[in-house]
Amino acid sequence: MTMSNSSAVQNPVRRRSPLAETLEALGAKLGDAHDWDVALSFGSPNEEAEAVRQSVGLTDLSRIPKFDLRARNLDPAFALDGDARVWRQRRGQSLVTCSPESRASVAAQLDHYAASAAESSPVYVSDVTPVYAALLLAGPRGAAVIRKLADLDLSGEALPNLACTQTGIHHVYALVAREDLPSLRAYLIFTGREYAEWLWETVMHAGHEFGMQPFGSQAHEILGAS
Amino acid sequence: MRANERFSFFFKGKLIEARPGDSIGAAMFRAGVRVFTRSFKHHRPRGLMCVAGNCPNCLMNVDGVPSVRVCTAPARPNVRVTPQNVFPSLDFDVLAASQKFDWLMPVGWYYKTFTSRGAWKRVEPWIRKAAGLGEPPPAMAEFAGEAPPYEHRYIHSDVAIIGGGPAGLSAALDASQQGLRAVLIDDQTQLGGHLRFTPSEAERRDRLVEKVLADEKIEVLSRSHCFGLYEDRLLGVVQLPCEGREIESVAHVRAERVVIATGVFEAPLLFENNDLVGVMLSSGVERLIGLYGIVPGSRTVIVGEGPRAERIAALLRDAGSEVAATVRPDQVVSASGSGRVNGLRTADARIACDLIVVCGHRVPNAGLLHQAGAGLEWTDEKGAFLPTRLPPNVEAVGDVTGDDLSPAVAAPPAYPVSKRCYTCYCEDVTTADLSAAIGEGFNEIETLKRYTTVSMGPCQGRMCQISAIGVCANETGRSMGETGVTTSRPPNPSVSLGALAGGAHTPVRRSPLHHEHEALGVVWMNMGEWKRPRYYASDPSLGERECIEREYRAVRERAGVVDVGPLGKIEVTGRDAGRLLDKVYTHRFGNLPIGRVRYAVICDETGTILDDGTISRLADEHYFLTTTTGNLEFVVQWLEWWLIDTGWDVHIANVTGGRSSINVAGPKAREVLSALTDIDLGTDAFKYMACRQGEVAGVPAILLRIGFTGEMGWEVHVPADYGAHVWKSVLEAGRPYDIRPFGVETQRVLRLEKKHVIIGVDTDALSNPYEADMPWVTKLDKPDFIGKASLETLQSTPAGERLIGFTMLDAGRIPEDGASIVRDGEPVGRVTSARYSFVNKTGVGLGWVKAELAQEGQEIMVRVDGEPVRARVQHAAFYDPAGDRLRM
Amino acid sequence: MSFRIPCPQCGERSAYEFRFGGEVLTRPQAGADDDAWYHYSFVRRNEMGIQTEWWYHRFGCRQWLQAVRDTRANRVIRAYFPDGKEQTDLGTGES
Repeated sequence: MTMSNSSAVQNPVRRRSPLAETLEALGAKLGDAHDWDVALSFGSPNEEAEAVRQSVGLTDLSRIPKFDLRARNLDPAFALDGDARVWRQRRGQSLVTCSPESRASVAAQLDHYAASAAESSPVYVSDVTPVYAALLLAGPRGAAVIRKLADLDLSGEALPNLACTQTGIHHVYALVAREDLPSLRAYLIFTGREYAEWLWETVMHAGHEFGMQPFGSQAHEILGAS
Repeated sequence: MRANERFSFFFKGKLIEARPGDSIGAAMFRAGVRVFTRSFKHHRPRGLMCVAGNCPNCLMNVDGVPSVRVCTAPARPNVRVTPQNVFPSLDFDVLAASQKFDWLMPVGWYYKTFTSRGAWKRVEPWIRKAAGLGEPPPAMAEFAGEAPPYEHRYIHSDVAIIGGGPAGLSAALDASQQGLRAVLIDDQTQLGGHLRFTPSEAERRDRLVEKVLADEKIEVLSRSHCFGLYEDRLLGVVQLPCEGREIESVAHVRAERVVIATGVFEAPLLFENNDLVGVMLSSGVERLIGLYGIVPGSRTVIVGEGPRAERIAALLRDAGSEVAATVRPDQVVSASGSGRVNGLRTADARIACDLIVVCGHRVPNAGLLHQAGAGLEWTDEKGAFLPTRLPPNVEAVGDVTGDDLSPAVAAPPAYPVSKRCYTCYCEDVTTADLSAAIGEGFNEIETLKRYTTVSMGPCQGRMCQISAIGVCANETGRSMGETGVTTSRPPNPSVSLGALAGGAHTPVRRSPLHHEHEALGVVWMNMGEWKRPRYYASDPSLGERECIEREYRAVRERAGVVDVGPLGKIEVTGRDAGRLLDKVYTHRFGNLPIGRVRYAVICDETGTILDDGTISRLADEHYFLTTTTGNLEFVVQWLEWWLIDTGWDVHIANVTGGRSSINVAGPKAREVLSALTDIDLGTDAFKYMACRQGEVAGVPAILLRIGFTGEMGWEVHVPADYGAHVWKSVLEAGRPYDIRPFGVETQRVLRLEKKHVIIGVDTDALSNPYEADMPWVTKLDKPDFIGKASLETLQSTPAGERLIGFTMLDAGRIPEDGASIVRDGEPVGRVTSARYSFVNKTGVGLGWVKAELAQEGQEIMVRVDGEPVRARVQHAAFYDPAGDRLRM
Repeated sequence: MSFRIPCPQCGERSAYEFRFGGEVLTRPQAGADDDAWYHYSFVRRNEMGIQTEWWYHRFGCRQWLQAVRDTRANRVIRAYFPDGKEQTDLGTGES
């Protein structure tokens, strides 16, 4: 059974991040990316990128494709090609993310995986892009910010690059995944979409001490996002 | 600011000059301030004594923060320091007269005097004002874009070391050498402990501190007090504002191993007038000289003996103070002076001086160890209670172990029983008070503490515990060891409530339509963490009730739309999905046809209703569940729990936030939605309690035809990112029908007219489906399900109470939710929901009554504003009882 | 309450991340007598000592697990998934 394309509509309706209003209020210049309204920058992409390199910055990545992968005997080592990431949430459930560009190929891979699953062990895939908000916290002080939000051990051994962990931020479930940018520490924080604005505000408060600023997709590209 | 540049701050409107590295208290002392506070009860003047942040003698208000220990708080430019607990000033305090009348208020006086409630009520504010310490800071204002004034942090470490003296520094370096991560928690601004003010140790200190600060595996928390050592080695640490960190924060430190290197502190000795300004502890004098270059007196008497007294004498002489005499503690009769020391009396002499230096008890700072479960055992040759039986993975190193101690005085000590011999400086408890309390029968150290409040003040017993035990031992003829110590509990030392509470970060859940509602003039209400529209104040000339009536009429007469995003939404997929639902819900779902919706109730094993909602079958192995807003997480966990050990192929996914959900309801709902979808919404094509998947406004949607409001209507679920688009499209398509958005309050009136219950509002932890008037939800002929055994019993048990509907017979009177239902003045039931019904033109409601009163047409009395008002029981819905409007 | 629970997936975590689910009990078979249902529904051992309990890792992997806890010391000795496939012991160095 495959449902990965159930919400991939072929129409011009634009998708709205749960943070669209927050970002607009912060003076974001909005632009289009794969049918989403995206914050391109808040003024100067170069300055935003430099601030991230020096300390820490926050950007909204709620638009990245997300798939819920389930099977009773899901292989914990299951992996996909390209820039897709498989974040293992628990036995039998993983969250798959990828860049917006590779959405179609990842969806196809997942559908293929589900279709070829053994009769005795069915695999279920569904698009959960709107279920989770995603924030990217990038920069050398990122771990110091997360320390103010969650009871997590973020030392290198405890959470290496491309590993994930789950936690509560002020008693709200969150998945924290480490996905470094080229020579820059970065964490993806996933939480329920309905918490997006609250989480943004909470993370910004925690980062105030380090002069944290929001950055847009253009600064993200400068920092080496694929 | 350059390293050696002087700066100034304000004290009582005057400028105080400070040097870099000064504490506020040190700068004030250098500027000539001697009286720092007035005591708690007797309003006696008090001055610097410990200079270590232990005693209560220097609690002041700094920039609005009360009870700051200024002796250790770093001086910063332009802070404003004001005294507290003074009426009206430090130098002249009218309440100091209270000490002339202290025979009127001995220990326990308010327990004995204000025994009638009225009397206590009248005097309490005055006692609080007179006895309280400081004023609370103003309420924490909403902060937008600014850092919160308090915050929390989580730190994970292999080793946590408490105490930045030589033992703690060495322990940190040892840990690092073993390749371990260490966190070093020190309560002072500078590391080094007593090495900081011991000139001969300066080089050793610099060497150790330099190594620690350069070590990347060691994290140093300065100005940080560990106030609790909890289970599994969680340390509560409060970090006070210091250089570079203006925020007061609490760190939750979790360590695999804890090293306590808290050293010793010094506690005063007992003699008359031992609290006068100018009586200081020897370590306080060492600090003033060693840390700040301040010589606190010109002519000194030292109370003490042996090498320690000799060392202090030499230090003072070198610093330029004349040492008039060194007196053995047992020879001291009293300090003399009016407010300030001007001499010391012995049995045969009076020695003039302006400073008395007391070589006090050296007490192992073992409170944290005691809290964590270690024992404290009296040792005569050390003159101290020493830690024993340490809990696993907790160690003690350095002076706290007591290795280096010797008694300051004999144990138990000699002392005068006097109203001017202070045991407890925080609460003004004297030896006379303790003696009297013991005479009244409070002769155990724990009861003595509670009755007299000795050791219960801001110093948490540091200054007084050893003396109080001594007095108790002496008065009861027991030894120190037999008398024992009181229990140590967190917080030690005191922590501000603001720091414990942390920043204001209460989670808020927002619907995908949040900003659409704002644009429509919404009035919000909080429902759990959710913000929900209560109603829309769309027209400023209308009051709340008019707005709600307008929304109501739109739904009943034309069309309305409500955001039901907070409804819990769960997808259940897999081959055995139907089996799990049959096991957990009371109705049958395995046989639910695809495309149909069924009302669904969960009971627990005792037959109590836990939750309700709808279950739709979208495909053979795909069900879509809704739950009440508050029970969503519970239902997910409940389903997961009953899945354990079944081996079934079922997957449960909470998709609540991912769906934007609205309910379009009203006689014109079909016309509105038909403009947006190709799905046939005709009476027969899309029946009541059916569901379909398709496109609405160009995006994928699930449509359920249900009728919570009592009108024809569809619940429309779309991916949240399209929510605003669909909402706007519906309002646009509904414009010809004058569609209105409606809020929770209108929805509550609409559903109440239909007698639709809200689980958790109209039911409680004892409600079962039979008493709640919904026996049809249980299918006792299906195989075993959760609650079946109890429901079988309940079905054949006469109901005790029943859920009824009622209409008010006095149209103007609406009871509040929760009002009592009475008969002959006795309560026989309660109202769970009541509202004015626009269609019935009177109040209608739901409530529980004793079963014998649940007859159709029975007259009952409902309390409204304290008066019984007539109402009549009605079992049918108040609006469209046949449900014709739902099926149109 | 600050003890830790060694979640088989997430490692040692603060008890605050978990929801307590009560003592582990065996549900009576369908058709069991009232006494069996009464005991199952209302009677708890509330052991002073070692007892096995349900815990749900709410702010973590969101799975139910069972933990063996010494109620006297408030210390979890062991935790495992109910099917016993993965298990972790609390590495306290104690016997």
